[in-house]
Amino acid sequence: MELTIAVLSVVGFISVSAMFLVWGERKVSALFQNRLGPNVVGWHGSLQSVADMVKLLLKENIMPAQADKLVWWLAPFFVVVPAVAVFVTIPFGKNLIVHDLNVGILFITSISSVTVLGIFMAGWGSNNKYSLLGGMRSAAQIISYEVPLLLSIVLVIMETGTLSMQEIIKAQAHGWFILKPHLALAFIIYLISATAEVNRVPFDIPEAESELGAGYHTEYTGMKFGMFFVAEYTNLFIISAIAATLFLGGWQGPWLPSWFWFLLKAYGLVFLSMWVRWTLPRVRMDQMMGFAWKVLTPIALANLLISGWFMVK
Amino acid sequence: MINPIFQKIKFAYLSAVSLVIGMKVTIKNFFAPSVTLDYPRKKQPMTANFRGMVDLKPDACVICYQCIKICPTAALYLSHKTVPDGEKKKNEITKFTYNAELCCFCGLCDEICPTDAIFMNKMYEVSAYEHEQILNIDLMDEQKYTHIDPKYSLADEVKSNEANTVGKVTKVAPPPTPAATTATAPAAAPTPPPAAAPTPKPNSTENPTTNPGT
Repeated sequence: MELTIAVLSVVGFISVSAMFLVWGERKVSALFQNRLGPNVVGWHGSLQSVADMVKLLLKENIMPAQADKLVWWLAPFFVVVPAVAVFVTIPFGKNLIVHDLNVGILFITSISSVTVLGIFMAGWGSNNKYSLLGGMRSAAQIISYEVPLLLSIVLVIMETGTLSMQEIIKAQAHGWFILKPHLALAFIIYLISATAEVNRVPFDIPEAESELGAGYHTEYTGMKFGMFFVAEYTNLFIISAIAATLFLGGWQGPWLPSWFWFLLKAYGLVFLSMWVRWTLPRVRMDQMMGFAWKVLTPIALANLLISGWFMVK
Repeated sequence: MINPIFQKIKFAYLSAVSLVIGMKVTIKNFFAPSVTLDYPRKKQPMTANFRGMVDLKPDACVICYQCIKICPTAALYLSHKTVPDGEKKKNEITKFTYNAELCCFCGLCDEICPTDAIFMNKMYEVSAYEHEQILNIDLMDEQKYTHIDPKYSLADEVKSNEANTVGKVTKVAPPPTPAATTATAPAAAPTPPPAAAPTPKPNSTENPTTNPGT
């Protein structure tokens, strides 16, 4: 019974959150560009994504004739399922968590790595040069940025000595981790590499519209495309939620209910991500890989080494 | 050895600074008012010499047939009859129609009209459901465009047309003397509208014709 409620609420939250993030992204981008954005369906166009979702559900499912059928068909699920599974251990509030695994953060990082498999399957299965290029770029990018991402998370684990998300939040009762200089640096590294992990500008070359025509999900139509879209925005929420948990004190905050603080922090980081997206241009592939291996990884490693030295000493 | 490292640090510093500057610019635009319009609900007024549909002030028409002659696509049709008016006789329009399908919206009829009776109004949402609705529009009718736009009102269109000075014929100033022409430098004066053929003196108080839009 409890499990049913948990599953239903997680799925409900994901769909509502993803739909409103799509609307939010469009609205925020419009405001950044002095436009109005969607404004017809519902209050300020807030039901636009619902209408889009209905449209996607009703659309014909077109499969490319030369596609690798099984791989092509399975790919969207490989992208969506990790995004849903990660929600098991995201602490929305003081007692609002599906299951507080004692390997929480490890679970999240390992499960979300499966996403790259789905993306590469989509790129390969579509049998289209743009999709394949997008999938390859995505695989290279996600694997590269996983290294600094994990190194910055490891620092938090070293600080708290636990992998459980709730324990990490409780360790920040007397000051958020972002206030400590070495963890602030880790936070910046985390934000940059997480942005790359979810393929967002300035690291969105796997789905660069102008050069790859949306990359790995070019050949998908209807709800299969919708699944990629939902997964993309869910992942955006997930990285923001993890950043809020690990560095910004999670659900902790005065007066207001804990879930409100958590959502405020998470969506604040989502807004930051959108803000960066509509500010920066796209980087080149070699620049991006060079940045991951030559800049972020050494800084993260040095940060880990130096702060580890001080922790042991 | 030191120099390349210094260059790299400088590059990283400048990149970070440029990111901050860029984000400042975007957030400033985020809170700036929108430049686009919530169109079907809010509408922008058209410019003074916008050329919408051909419209007519029936009382002002003197039946000179100038508009019929100048119309390049023969979109206008006018006929009249002579009726007795006391001891004198006067002309009365029997039919004055406008075919919006033929019209090329050049505005020549507006420019040539000596009394500014025929003019281009500010309508721009002029699509119709039926072919017949745009074929023979009776210009003498006060409600001529209500079948296209229910909010159409001739009085409002006449009022908004007053701002349009293109082709408006006003009392023409006497042709300038050669001395005055050199003194007031007509080359610098605004180009007169085509209907007001003689060059008006720029400082003439009798001629309020200005030409702001063209």
